[in-house]
Amino acid sequence: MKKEEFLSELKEIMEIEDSELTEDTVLRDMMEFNSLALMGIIALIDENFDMVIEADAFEKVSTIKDIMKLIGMDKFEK
Amino acid sequence: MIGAAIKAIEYYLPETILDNHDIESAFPGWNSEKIEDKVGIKERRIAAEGETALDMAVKASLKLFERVDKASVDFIILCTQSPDYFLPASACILQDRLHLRTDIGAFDMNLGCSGYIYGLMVAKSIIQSGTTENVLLVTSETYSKHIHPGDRGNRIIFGDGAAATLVGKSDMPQIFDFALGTNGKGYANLIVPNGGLKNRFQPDAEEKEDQNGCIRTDNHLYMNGPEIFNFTIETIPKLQKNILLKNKLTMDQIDYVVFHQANKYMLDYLRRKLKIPKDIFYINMRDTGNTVSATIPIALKDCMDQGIVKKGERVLIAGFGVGYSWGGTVIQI
Repeated sequence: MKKEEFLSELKEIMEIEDSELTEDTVLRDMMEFNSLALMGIIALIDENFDMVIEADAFEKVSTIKDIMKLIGMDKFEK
Repeated sequence: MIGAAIKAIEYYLPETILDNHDIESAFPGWNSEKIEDKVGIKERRIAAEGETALDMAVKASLKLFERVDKASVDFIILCTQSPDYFLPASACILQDRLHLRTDIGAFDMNLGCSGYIYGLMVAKSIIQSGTTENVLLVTSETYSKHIHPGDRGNRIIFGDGAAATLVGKSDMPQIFDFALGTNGKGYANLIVPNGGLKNRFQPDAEEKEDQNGCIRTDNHLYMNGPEIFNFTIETIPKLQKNILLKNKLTMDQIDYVVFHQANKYMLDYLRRKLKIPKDIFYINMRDTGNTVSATIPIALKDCMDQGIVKKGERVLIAGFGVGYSWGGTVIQI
């Protein structure tokens, strides 16, 4: 999965229509960052990267880039 | 060989309805349509003040006895995590409330979302051993009484309900082999921390608000939803495989699939991950919410009544959750 695809999937999970997400977007600034959205992110990562990330790990993330680091930047297609 | 079969199922739902509009007015900023769309729940039933899981077990059983002879019941298994007392077991009181014979066995089982599967497994085993012929398996739950009124997330998900199933001896085995699992490492992710003997109920327990704005104390139910989701997506694919292996079956020999109705979001994802066709996979908790150990029998009863599953068909069933505890089997309708 490419970074752009990841961002666009995240946008859908968070139900953001009127703005763009970037790697530097802070997750908690978004209204829709709740446990349901978190499940969406977990599913997205499981489906595309075959990885399970502990829910606790998400508590320490600030930006979208932090989530991508949890997955591993090298896992994204160029 | 002696087999066991599900002879009849009836369920009872308490009268009070908590619908998404109620939730919307209690928690501004939440849209009722959106709740239904995401979690697949429109309304849930809430037990009345003073109405316990045991009371609901009585009502579900009485409904069952309109169809089956109660004198045939020679064992009671009551699955609940909302017992009336630490002791005695609610199942013993249930025997008396239902005026059942006294030369029968009865016990409680403390399991949640996997409870129906474990109940079926024990019922089948004691039938096959020759100990009993007809087991009354009741799964009854009132999680609403464990949930803090300010805990929006859990109030959306859980509903109260009770199901009574008669499991009886049959010439043809209709309850097949079981695959089971337990991992106590996850115990703290779905828990009522206080009220037992480890941590006593605290009248002045501190209210905590989580990052989603849900309020609770340690006297109340706590669920780490995302971590439970992780557990599910890791465990259920293996469980499904094991159920099929144990029974030497493949998915194309399965007519229908009924999982514990946790929430629509989780079920949708599991279905996709397991590549189970939409038309053989049950998702319906719109009018009940997640009734814990009662979701599978409620679903089975609805499927049978509505002709979604027909006589002779093989249905794969699986329950998973609090403990962590999980299990599944195949039943023939």
